[in-house]
Parts: sequence; C-alpha cells; structure tokens
Amino acid sequence: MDLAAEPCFNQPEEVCKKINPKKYLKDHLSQGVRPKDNRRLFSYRSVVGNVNFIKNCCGSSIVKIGSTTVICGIKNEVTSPSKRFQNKGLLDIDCKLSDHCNVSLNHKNRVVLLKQCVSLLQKLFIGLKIVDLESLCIAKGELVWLLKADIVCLDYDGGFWDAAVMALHLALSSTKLPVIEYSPENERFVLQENTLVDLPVGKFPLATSFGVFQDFVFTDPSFEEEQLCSSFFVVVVQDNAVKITQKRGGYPISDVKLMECINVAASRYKIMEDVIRAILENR
Amino acid sequence: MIDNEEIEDMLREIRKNEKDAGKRISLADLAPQGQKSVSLYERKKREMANRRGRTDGRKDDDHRPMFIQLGTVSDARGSCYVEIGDTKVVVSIRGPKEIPNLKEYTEMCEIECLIEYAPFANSPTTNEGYMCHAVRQALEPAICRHEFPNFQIAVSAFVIEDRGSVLSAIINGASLALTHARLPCFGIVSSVIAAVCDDRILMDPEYEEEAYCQAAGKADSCGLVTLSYMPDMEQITFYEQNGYLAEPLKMVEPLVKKCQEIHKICIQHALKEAKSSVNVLAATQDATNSVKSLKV
Repeated sequence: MDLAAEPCFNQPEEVCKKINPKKYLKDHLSQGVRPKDNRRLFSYRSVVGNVNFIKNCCGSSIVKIGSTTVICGIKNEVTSPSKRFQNKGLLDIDCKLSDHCNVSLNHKNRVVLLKQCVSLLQKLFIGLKIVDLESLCIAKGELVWLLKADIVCLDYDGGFWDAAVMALHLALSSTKLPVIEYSPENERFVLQENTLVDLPVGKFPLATSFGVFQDFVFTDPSFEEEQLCSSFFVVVVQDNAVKITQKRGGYPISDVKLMECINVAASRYKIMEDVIRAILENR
Repeated sequence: MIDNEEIEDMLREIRKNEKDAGKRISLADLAPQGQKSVSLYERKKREMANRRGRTDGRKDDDHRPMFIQLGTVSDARGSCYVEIGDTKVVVSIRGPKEIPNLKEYTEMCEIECLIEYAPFANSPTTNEGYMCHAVRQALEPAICRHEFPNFQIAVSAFVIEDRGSVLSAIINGASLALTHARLPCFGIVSSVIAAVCDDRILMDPEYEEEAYCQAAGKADSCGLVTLSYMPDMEQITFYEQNGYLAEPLKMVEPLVKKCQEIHKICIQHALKEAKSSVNVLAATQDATNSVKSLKV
C-alpha cells in the first residue's frame, strides 16, 4: 500500500477513475477532451528548455514537457578510432531513468523502453547524419573525439521520447569542443583550451508521440494515459519530411488515422523550430 | 547511411580499446607542456599555501548563494531542488509504505536512502554508500518515526552536478522535502560542511577545496567536518570529522551558527509551502460550501 498515491475519494470523478479507468478515459476522449488537464486530443503540453547549465560538461540541456523532465549532458573524450572507420569519431548515447521516476515501471519494462529509445536516437542522430561522425575526426586514423551523451529522466510523466530527442539535439547544438592541433616541434597533439569551436549539428528533428487507445489516437500521452494505451506511435519530422515513424504495441491503426497523425506532427514543426531557436539564442 | 549494427560494432571496439590502460589517451595528456602541471587542484594548493582569499572571492566563512524549490518531482510525495553555488541536487521522498517480507514488528519506521550521481557529474565517486548512511543518520532524529511502525520512507537524491558540499545540500534538501511531503517532523535539519586547513576554516568548500583538505596530510590540522543541526530542538543530529584537527571542539560553535543561518532560509520556504497549502484548503472549503448551498 502506498499512502502517498492514495487519492481522496470524496469526489465522484475520482471514484469512477479508480473503479473503471478505461471507461473513464474513453468517456473523456469521446467528448474530445482529455482527463486531468482538459487538453484537446491533438494539443500538446507546454515545452520549456534551457542549455549549458552544467558547468563541467561541454554541452548540456534540460527539457520539460509538462512535468516530464529530462536532462542531457555531454562529456568529451579522445580516443583512437576503430579500424574499419578510420576517419569517424563516435557519439555514445545512453538513456537512464533516475530513482525519482515512477517506481511502478517494473525493471524489465524500463530496460526495454530505454533500449528502444537509445536505438531510435542512434538511428536518428548518427544514421541520418544530424551529427556527422566525420566531423568528430581530429586526425585520420590517429585521434578522434568520443562524445558521451547521457540522457537522464528526472521526472517521468509520459512523452519521454519526445523530450529525449529534443534534449539531445539541444545539448549537441550547445556543445563546444576545444581545438586539438598537431605541433611538429613537440611531435604530439596539443590541446588548446581557450579556443572553442561549435560542433556542426544538422537541423532540429521533432519527435511527436501518439498514444492509441481503442479507436482514439491522441498526442503526447501523460503517464496515466500511457498505462492504458495499447500501442504507441512516434513520428519524427525534420523540415517537412518525415524521417522516422515507429509503432510499438499490437493494436492496429487505420491508414486514415496514420496520415492524420503525420499531418499533425508536420504542422507542429514550424512552431517548435522557433521555440528551439529561441532557447539556443537565450543561452 | 550507417545502420545500428555498425554503430554497435564501433562502440564495442572503442570500449575494448579503452580497457587497455596503456593505449588509452586522455585529454590531460594533450595539454600544452608548459601548462600541464597547473591543474585546478595545483592552483588551489598554491592559493592555500599563500593564504590568499578563495577563488570565487568569498570570505572564509561565507556560504555560497542558495536556491531552493519545493515540488520539483511531480509524482513523488515530496521533493526539493537545491542549488548551492554550482552544486545541483534533486531530492524526492516516497512512502511511507509497508516493508515487504517483514518477519518482525519494527517499532520505528525505517528510512531507506538512495543517492545517485549523474553520469556527467564530476567523476562519479565511490562513497555513495557512506553518504546514504550519513543522510539517514542526519534525518532519523528529525522524523517522528514512532508514527509509522512497520513502514519505510524512501529518500532518493540525484546529484546533477558536484561542485563541493554535496552532502550538506542533500541533507538540507531531504529535510525540506520531508516538510513538503507533510510527514510529521520535529523540525527542519540544516547542514554545513567546513574544510579545515591549518588554522583556516573554510565554510561550504568547493570541489577543489574539499579535495585539497582531504588529501593534504602534512599540515598541522586538515580535514572535512560535516555537521547537521536541528535548531528547533537544539540538537546536533549528525557530526563527522575526517582528518586530523588540533582542536576539534572549537569547530562546533561556528558550524552551529552557520546552520542556524541556513535554517532561517529553509524555514522561509517551508512557511511559504504551509501558507499555500492553507490557502488551498480554505479555497476547497469555500468551494464545497458554495456547492452545498446550490443544492439547497
């Protein structure tokens, strides 16, 4: 028994929710409203972000979507490159849920969720060359950058993937790397701490997640809704082009609904791009 | 396009290389030769030896500015975000919940403490276990533990950035989070760390100052002193001294004084929280009254 999670039952609405949460959600959705925060089906929670707030990382960011909080920090290291790709550096992405996140997510689910998320981020940022690995090369076959990006979720309230994509992009765009040059007189590489260069990063990818619950599809499910949804659907848009669509879970979705989702995701891009630009300019 | 397998391959190879310590190149090796020796730690050492002020221009007994926010984590019972200078910590409280598989009756509620460092925080240290123990000891006298027999309260802390005095930040945060969780407490615990080097007492040391005072073994007296104090009951809940001090008892008085100053900041936040909850209670009371009057 968790005393903290026990709501007060003197309101009829709370009782309905406890007895039959599925019907409670369905009744709301059929009216076109979401429970709890009165959002429309396709409206999104507010997004807040900040960059470079951790001093001892070379790039960092924090993103809040509603009350979901994700922080991302990037550490730079140098290493010798792998034998197959002599002129490529590496971006090592790792996701983590902290102890603050809802403990009811059991351990196996957590691991699967995080693995899926890391794989999506790798495909997106490395596969689609938002970060060109060749730009992380210092000297071919000798020395490359190894960027360690760690994404930590401090507060889990649904929409972790959207926040993770945004946090990683913000952190990478705020990354400043010191210059390393070969000095012939010392016969070794020399670090110049005072000259910092921006890491070239591609255009902002926008991930929008959808929850599928029976016949309803809605954006940005919160944690309570996420637990009831039978499948999830992520659309990643970059500059009017759909880059990745992924669906997890077994419940089928009609292609009309699918197109609608993609249109919703694409129409958000312009607004969110401005938001990202504002965050990056304010640093 | 590179697919995931190739990325995994590269990761594996590079990680394997990293394990061979001989092959490993670190950023420090690449520093220009002239400057190589002047790390932050070395600079701090010189500064201490010359008895100059501190790097950030503080006086010896100045505390860094503090920022406190209650209710940072949405689904925890109580939570608090504390920033002391650049040190950033989030603390959350869960429970009280039943202890699973309990064989015997426990009269007092147990406090479970978890401390986690962010992977990008200053070199993840190995003393998390010790810090958990310290936080538990500091909080145990403050909570009305007899109210919850057979229950446990979970305190989890996440260190986003470590720039010194993490332990005191966690204790301050945890104590405020307990009040935010509305758990019965005897008072609010506040905590201060002091670094001692010869006859200098540095309140609220930075990361390098901490490292220096712990490592310098030659000086007459050096070390770290942690003290947490509950002004409401006039009790010292936790005291610890690492290192050698010439006059240990001399340390207590200035630390207690500092704790009282911190406590003044903490109670302001607790009071704000109490006021807002009273306002909410009054508002709901009004609302229910007006609904009742409508029905009639």
